[in-house]
Amino acid sequence: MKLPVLIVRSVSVEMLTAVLDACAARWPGHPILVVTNPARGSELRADPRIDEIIAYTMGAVGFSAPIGCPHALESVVVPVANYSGSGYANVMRAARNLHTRSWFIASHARQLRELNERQWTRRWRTELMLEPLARSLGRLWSASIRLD
Amino acid sequence: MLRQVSVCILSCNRREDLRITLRGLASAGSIWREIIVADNASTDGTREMVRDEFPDVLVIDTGGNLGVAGLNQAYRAAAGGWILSLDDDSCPDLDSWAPLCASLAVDTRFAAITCSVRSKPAGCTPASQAALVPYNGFHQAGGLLRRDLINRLGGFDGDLFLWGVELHLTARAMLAGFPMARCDSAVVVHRRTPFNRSSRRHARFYCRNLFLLVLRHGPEAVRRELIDTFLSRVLLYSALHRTTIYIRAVREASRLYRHTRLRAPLRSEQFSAMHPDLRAPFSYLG
Repeated sequence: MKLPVLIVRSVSVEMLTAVLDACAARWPGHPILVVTNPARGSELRADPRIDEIIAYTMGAVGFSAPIGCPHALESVVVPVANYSGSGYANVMRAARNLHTRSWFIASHARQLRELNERQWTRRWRTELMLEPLARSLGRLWSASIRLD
Repeated sequence: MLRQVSVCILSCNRREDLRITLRGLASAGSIWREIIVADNASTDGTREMVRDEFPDVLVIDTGGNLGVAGLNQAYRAAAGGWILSLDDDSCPDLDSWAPLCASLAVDTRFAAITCSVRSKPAGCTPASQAALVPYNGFHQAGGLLRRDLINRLGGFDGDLFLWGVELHLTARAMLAGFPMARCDSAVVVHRRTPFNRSSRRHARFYCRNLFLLVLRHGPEAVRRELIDTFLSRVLLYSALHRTTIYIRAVREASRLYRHTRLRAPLRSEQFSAMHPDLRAPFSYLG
């Protein structure tokens, strides 16, 4: 039995199509699971390439709680609109506890690029580590903007 | 129902993509009320191609690269009760549109319908699926707008150029009391041509327009908090992506806000219902 590949829907349904194609080509015969906001699940239900949709309730800032999945996985794929995945720290952090053999980002929502677990963790930690400093500076900047 | 629909397409220097789109629309026969192309000053012969090969299609020369302000010109010229808004590289997959047409014939509540915009045609639609679901959003590359909404709101905000413009339209539609919906079964195929796309422009305008959304329509109770968070991301990603684009975009948004003096706050639940992804502008560079 081939292990499933889990794709986190971190880009629009429109952009996800190419990711599904890339995953089907890279892992032929592996079931494909997609984690998505339940409100948008119906858009994906008709897609024959998707074997299971896993509902994920977004927090106020998108992917904040850990993603739950009962299966052991062949791979976790986070599609990103840019090359490096910068800006997706919250998604990568939400996926960190999944039981998987490998981690991938889909650069420009097309090109699969493998990261090892250390690289994966470093990506989201670096970004989130800088957040408190940015928040303090952001507040100072914000205070200088008149809203009336 | 499609006889009431005017198709309005925004185009700029994508002649070959537009040709594919117009062939797709024409392949279904004369089912549309009319097809209008708003051409944003293309220099690749787009207008000549349309006039030569698709004489029934009306081309409007908008006089410059105006972004969605060009599309507004097409909306105003359209005569149909509904307007189907498309990009030059998007086209409806009419095989999937029967449930939408049937629903619109009996359900007249909604003034804007967002189709399922994908990069490929869809499979069949589950029979149990409701055709229209209330939804606070719109997709300019694949959505229907009712005539009265256009008349009342005047279309998109012409100052915004492109990207994030649909959120502003959604906010104004909500404030004006127009219910909106989406139809997951009605597919519009958006080929997302690689031509004439720029990540830097995308990041700049998306950042500017989302910050302007917060300034104009952010709920009173959380507006300052939203601004704090947005600006902290601007600083964070300016450092990570080694760019000043985001900072310049915020300055532009502030200038536009001061210039237009438009402040129309949504209620917190309305703002949340739009699901504005305030991280999104920072995901195109890097």
